[in-house]
Amino acid sequence: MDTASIYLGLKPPRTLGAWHESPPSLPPDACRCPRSHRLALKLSCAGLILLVLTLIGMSVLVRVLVQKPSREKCCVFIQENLNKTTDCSVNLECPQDWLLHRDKCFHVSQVSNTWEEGQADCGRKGATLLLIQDQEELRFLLDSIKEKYNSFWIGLRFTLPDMNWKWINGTTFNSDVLKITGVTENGSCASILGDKVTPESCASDNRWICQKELNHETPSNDS
Amino acid sequence: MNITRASLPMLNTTCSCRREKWNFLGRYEGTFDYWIGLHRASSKHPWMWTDNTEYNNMFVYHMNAQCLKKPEEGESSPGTGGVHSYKILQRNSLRAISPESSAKLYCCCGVIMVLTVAVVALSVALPATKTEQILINKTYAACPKNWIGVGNKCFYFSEYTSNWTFAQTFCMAQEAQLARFDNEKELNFLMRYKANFDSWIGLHRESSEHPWKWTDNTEYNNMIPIQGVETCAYLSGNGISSSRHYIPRIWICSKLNNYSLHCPTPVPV
Repeated sequence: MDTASIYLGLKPPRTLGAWHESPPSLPPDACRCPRSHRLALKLSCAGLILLVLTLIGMSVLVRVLVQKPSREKCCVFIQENLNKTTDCSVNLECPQDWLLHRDKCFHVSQVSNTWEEGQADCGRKGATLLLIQDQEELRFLLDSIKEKYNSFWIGLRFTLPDMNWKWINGTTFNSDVLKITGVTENGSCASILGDKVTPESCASDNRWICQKELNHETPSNDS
Repeated sequence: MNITRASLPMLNTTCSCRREKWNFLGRYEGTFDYWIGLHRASSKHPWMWTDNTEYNNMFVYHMNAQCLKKPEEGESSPGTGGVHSYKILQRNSLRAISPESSAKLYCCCGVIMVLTVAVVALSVALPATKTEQILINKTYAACPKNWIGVGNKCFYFSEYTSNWTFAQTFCMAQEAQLARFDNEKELNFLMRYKANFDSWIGLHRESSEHPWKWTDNTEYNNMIPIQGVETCAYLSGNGISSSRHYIPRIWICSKLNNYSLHCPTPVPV
């Protein structure tokens, strides 16, 4: 009687008949809980999927929008390059504002002019236009030059009678050390842009690089 | 060149506009040093603009971090976790289900909360960004973005190098030409803003015996003589020079601004 009253109190009257028809067991009671659980699970899964899709979509949108400033970064970097001052290791053996590397001093001009004027300007400084010894020296100069987008005259020109490239110290150009890219014509002088040696009309305007050997300690006026 | 300004330059717009204006000022200064509108009471005080707004240290070490950060992205509202309760009809059912279901419930609630917070944060960030875009689009500009207006023209300065032919092709793709100047004011602007870069312009000729022409085939009026014996002209550190077409250089495009295109009024020279 106690057991019967407990069961009666827990269940609504509708299921009373079912109880009589079948032996007392968990299945009828368990039917309701699994259904509500299933519904909750379905709703949760749908919500989760919706959230994930929304998150993915918005992430893509944000990334697309945020990518734009990266171009402006490039602008800033170019600007910063303009403002950078070359770190010069001051050495008594080199004049002021000249760069020391191995046994040479180098100077990058701040003005533009023809190849002849560049050579004359170097001469007034007791130097000559750049004579590139090897790739290592060229690499040093590339790292030192802050203006990456400009050409610089060097002491190499195309000589007419010989139809050959010659350095201004008389030695013949050695294509094993450097390569000249571009059209070679009469009246061509060589300039460097990046790591490339390019023929250019000698009458064009470029900045230039002077060099002087440390061995020749001739007094020179650099003012 | 005489420059008169009503007030010292201000850089008081959004981060990206500030950077663009700085780029312009930085390149346009040429070889002179200029006063700008930043000051402070002493070295211990913060830098201020002349209208008493505080400088945002755009060009100190953490410049990029500050400019790229937007205030809206930092904001986020805490997500609300759902509270679930279950009616348990029998003690046996409660004992059997509680450990597993509670663990699962906690996991599900945790994941849902994280996702909700992420979506809310993104929702807050996106409208602000979109609003900025909409405002930019609706603004009627005389010159396209990244172009600089001078007089009735717009000028574009490239950020990498190419030969003269490609530069002209690039400009034509922007409905423009390699740069043309019609008076000394425009030329002075180009010479200053090109900074230290030798830059292609739109003057060319067939050979050293032919006259110089603009890319629209009008003849150059020899306002300034062009040095050299080659066929393509560029702005150098020494004026206007000429070189072979295959030399890589920065280039400048130019075109009439929208006002001049839509309202053809005779412009006094």
